Amino acid sequence: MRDLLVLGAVVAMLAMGLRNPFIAFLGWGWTAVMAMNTYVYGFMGTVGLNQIFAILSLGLVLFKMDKLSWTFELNRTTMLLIFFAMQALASASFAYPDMGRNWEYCADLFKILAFCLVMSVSVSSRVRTYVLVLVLALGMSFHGLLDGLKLIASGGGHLARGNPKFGDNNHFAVMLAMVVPITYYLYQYAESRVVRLGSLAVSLLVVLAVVATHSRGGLLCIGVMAMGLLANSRRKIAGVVVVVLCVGAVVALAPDSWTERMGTMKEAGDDGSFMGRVMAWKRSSAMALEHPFVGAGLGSASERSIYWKFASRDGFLGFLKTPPPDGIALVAHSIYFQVMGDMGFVGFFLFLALLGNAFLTRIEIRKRVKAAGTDLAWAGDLADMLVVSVLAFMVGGALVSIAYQEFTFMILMLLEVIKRQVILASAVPRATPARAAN
Amino acid sequence: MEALLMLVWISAIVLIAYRLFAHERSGGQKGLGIFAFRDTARNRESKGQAAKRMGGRDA
Repeated sequence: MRDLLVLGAVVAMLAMGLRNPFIAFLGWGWTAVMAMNTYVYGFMGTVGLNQIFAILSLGLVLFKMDKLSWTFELNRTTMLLIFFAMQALASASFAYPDMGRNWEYCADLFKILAFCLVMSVSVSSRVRTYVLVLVLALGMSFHGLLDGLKLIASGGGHLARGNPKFGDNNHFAVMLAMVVPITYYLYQYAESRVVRLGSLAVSLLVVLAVVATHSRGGLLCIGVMAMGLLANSRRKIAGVVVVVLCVGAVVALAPDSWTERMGTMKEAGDDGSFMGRVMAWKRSSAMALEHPFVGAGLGSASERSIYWKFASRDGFLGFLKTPPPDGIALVAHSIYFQVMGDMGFVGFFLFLALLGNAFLTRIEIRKRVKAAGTDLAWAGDLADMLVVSVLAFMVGGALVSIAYQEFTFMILMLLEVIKRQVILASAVPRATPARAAN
Repeated sequence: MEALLMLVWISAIVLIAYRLFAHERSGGQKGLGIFAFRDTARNRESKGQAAKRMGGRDA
C-alpha cells in the first residue's frame, strides 16, 4: 500500500515536473531529504526516486525549459561549493587504496553540488522560496514525527535509535534540531490556521524526538537553537517564558535514565564516550598533518586499516590524555575533524569558509532588508532562521560525523538565493506589497 | 501510524506542488490556497496592518 502511495505521488510530481521544471526540482529536494525508500517495503524500495527527479530537473534546466528561472551567476557561495567539491575529488583521487566509501561520498558531494547549482537558478521568486522551504521542512520533519509521538504515548520511555538516512541517535538528533527554526518560520508566515498550528505541532514533536534520542549533543543543539530563536525574537520575555515552560515539560516527561545521561555532560573528562571522541579527533588531526593538502580520503575515519595506521598518533591534540586504542569506534565524531581527516587542511578551511559564509550572507541580507523596509522582512526573518539552523549544525556537529549531509548545503545555498532575491527586489522602485500567492 | 503520517505528508507535498503548478501556470492569478503565506510575520504585524490584511484578503 505504501509503495502504491509513493508511486502515485511520484507519477503526479513527474507529470507536473515535465511541464514545470521547478516541480521536478521540488521532487528532487523532497526525495533527497525524506528518503522514501527507507519507508517502503515493496517494489518502490529499489527505485532510484532521487535520481529520476535529479536527471529530469537537470535536463530541463540545461535545456532552459524553465521560463521563470534566472541565469547562472558565479557568486561567493557557488564558488565555495565548487571549490569544496573539487577538493573532495582531489582527496578521493589521492586516497589510500581500498577505501570502501571514498567514491560514494565523493559522488554524494557532487550530487549536492548539482542540487545547489540548480537551486541557484530555479528558486527565483518568493513563492518558489517559500514552497521549497515548506517541502524541505515537511521532508525533514517526517523523520522525527513518529519518535515525538511515541515519546508522548510512552510517557517519556521511548528511545529513538536513529534513522537509516542519518545514522545513529546522535546524528539523528542534530539533523532533527536543524529543522525546528525552519518550521518555526513557517509558523510565523503561514496564512492558514491549519498550516500555522501544524507547523507549531511539528516543531514541538521534533524537539520531543530529539529528547527521545537521549543524545547529549542533541540537547546542546536544542539549547543553541532556543537561544538563537530568542535572540531573533521581538518578544524576548514571552520567549524566555515559553523556553522555561518547554524545559519544565521535557524534564517532567523524560525518564530518569535521560536526566542521568544529560547530567554526565559535566564530567566529560571521566566519560568513556567522550574520551573515545578525543581519540577519534587525534586520529583525524594526525591524518591531516600527514596529508595536509588532500587528507586521507573520504570516509577515512571508518576504515579499519587507516584506523590502526593512525591509532597511536596524537596529531595536534597530544596535550589531551586518552586511553589506548580499542579499535571499536570507527567514526570521526566531529564534522570539523571528519573534513580535516578526509580532505586535509585545505578542505577543512574551505568547509569553515562555507559555514562562515552563511553568517556573512545573513548580514548582507539584513542590511538590504533594513534599507528596503518591511516589504522584504520575510527574507530577513528566513535568513535568521536558516542561520540558527547552521549554528545548530556547527554546535551539534562538533560531536558527530554529519559533514556531508545534503540538508546543510541546501540551507547554505538557500541563503545565497535569498540574497539574490533581496538584491533584485531592492534594486527596483518600491511598489505595493506583492500578494501574488495569496 | 507511520503509514497514516506518510499518507498525510506525501499528500501535502503533492498538493503543495500542484498549487504552485497552478499558480505559475495561471501567471500568478491562482493562489497557493491553504499553503498561502503572509507578507509580514505574525509577531511583527501591527494592529493596523492586521486590519488592512483582513480587509485585503476578504475583499
